Amino acid sequence: MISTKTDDILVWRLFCDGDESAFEEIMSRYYRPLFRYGSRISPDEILVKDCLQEIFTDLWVRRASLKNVQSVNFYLVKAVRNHLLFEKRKQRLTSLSGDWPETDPFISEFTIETELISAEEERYRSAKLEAMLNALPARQKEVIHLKFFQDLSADEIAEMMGLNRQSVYNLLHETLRKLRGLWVPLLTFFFF
Amino acid sequence: MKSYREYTAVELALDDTFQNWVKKDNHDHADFWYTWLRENPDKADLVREARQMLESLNERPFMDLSDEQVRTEITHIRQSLKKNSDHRSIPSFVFHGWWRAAAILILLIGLGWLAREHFNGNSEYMSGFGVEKKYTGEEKTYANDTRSEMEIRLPDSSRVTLEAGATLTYKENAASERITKLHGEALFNVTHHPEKPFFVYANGLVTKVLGTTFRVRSWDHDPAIRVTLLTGKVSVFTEADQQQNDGNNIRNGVILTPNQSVDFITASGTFHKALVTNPVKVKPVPEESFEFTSTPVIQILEKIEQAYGIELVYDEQTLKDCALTASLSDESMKEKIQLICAGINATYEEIDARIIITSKGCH
Repeated sequence: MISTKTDDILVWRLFCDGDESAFEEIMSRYYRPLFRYGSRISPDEILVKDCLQEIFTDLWVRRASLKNVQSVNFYLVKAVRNHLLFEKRKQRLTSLSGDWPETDPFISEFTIETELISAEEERYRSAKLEAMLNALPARQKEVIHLKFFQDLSADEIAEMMGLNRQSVYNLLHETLRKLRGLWVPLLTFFFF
Repeated sequence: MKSYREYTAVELALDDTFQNWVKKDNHDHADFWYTWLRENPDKADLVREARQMLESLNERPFMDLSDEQVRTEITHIRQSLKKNSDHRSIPSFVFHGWWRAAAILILLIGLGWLAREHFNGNSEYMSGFGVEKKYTGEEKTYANDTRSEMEIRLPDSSRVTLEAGATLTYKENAASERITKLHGEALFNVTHHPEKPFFVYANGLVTKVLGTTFRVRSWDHDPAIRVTLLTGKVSVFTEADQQQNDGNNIRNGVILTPNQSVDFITASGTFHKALVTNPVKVKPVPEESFEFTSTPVIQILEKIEQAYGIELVYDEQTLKDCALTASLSDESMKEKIQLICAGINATYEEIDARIIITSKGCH
């Protein structure tokens, strides 16, 4: 899927002016990625679909007041997150069992592309890194997901999740540094 | 901003445009990065390293929809919007007592509204939400009953932002003039139709335009009506004057150029022209061009005049020996003038939308 941010904003402006085909374009660009993200917050297909329907319907109704949106992707991801977390908390309040976990889980399993790795030792290291990434707390996994699979910037992630900017940067740096660690010996091998 | 040349592989991998290129194969960003690589061939390894980091990290797919399912969902959303706009959202739960009465009342109002919309042959799909639209013959009335500003689009496709509580009527008269009457405050972005002049009547004051962006503020409780111009050119005069002189030879009026505003004092019938508080550039001028090294002050002032489209008045003879080294990129227009004046020991005052600079000269 090719969608540039500049083009996004053009389509968004048309949509704010009431252009229906621009609205269709936004839905067809974003429905699927937003569904994928939403289902990781709440693995209930019907709930996620309802949430997306509400978000897009509301978007059309309020379109005239949405001209100041800077990043379409960020705006929509944030809407999905707020909506689903709100729904989940509501369910938790009304549920009788009361055995809901304290923190909201985020479903994600990271993998390391092993096709790129040939040596046995590197494979072993990548398996270790995989295990480490997947053992991260849910919120940290969400940060990594949002950065590398939902294309949000570190600043946007910090703002949306109410996190300290520096801690988002640190986590992302650390993750990349570990990924880099898989390659460094390989590179030095080529150099000398 | 830090140059990409100084980036480490990790920083590069974290960069949004870089990530977009690698993960989305984004064409615009690809062009940028290929050019950058050509210009910085020594960084090829760094780029490869950063790419590898991003490409090696993956995520196991979880729930997904097929393209077909996505299309079905989108059709579903569209249908629900159409339904809502046809019935003005009637909730499907059972009503009781007062709620039932209220719901029926809303339903009746909704039906009446629909009938009227239908009668006027205008059933725009949920258009102008929050703005009540009425038709009186050819004249259209827009009233912003909400608590926030509201954007409307006139039939000539001009755009108007109505402030809360403001009302605007629009019609085209026999002479093909676009006539609007404003009550309250609004920002106008008028489409360019030289053959169809656009008029805003507000409390006895007339603003005539050919195609431009400007704001009119005319509340009953204000002692003055204010017209502020952002782009283009407008003339402002009184309605009385226009009637007496048949629209030609207006005696008492002003012409506004960008970054100027005029207050019409209703009680005295006088105009007061001024610069807006924070003038904006009327031409795109790169910020770096406001970096000066031993530049003659007259050149600096000319640059400011052009960038902001305003008039600076000064004595060229006195200033001809003055030169300045200054970085004025981040300052507002008024701060720029202040800093220049401080640098050459001059003073300035604003008179009639012009800035007068007085200096004893430099030696």
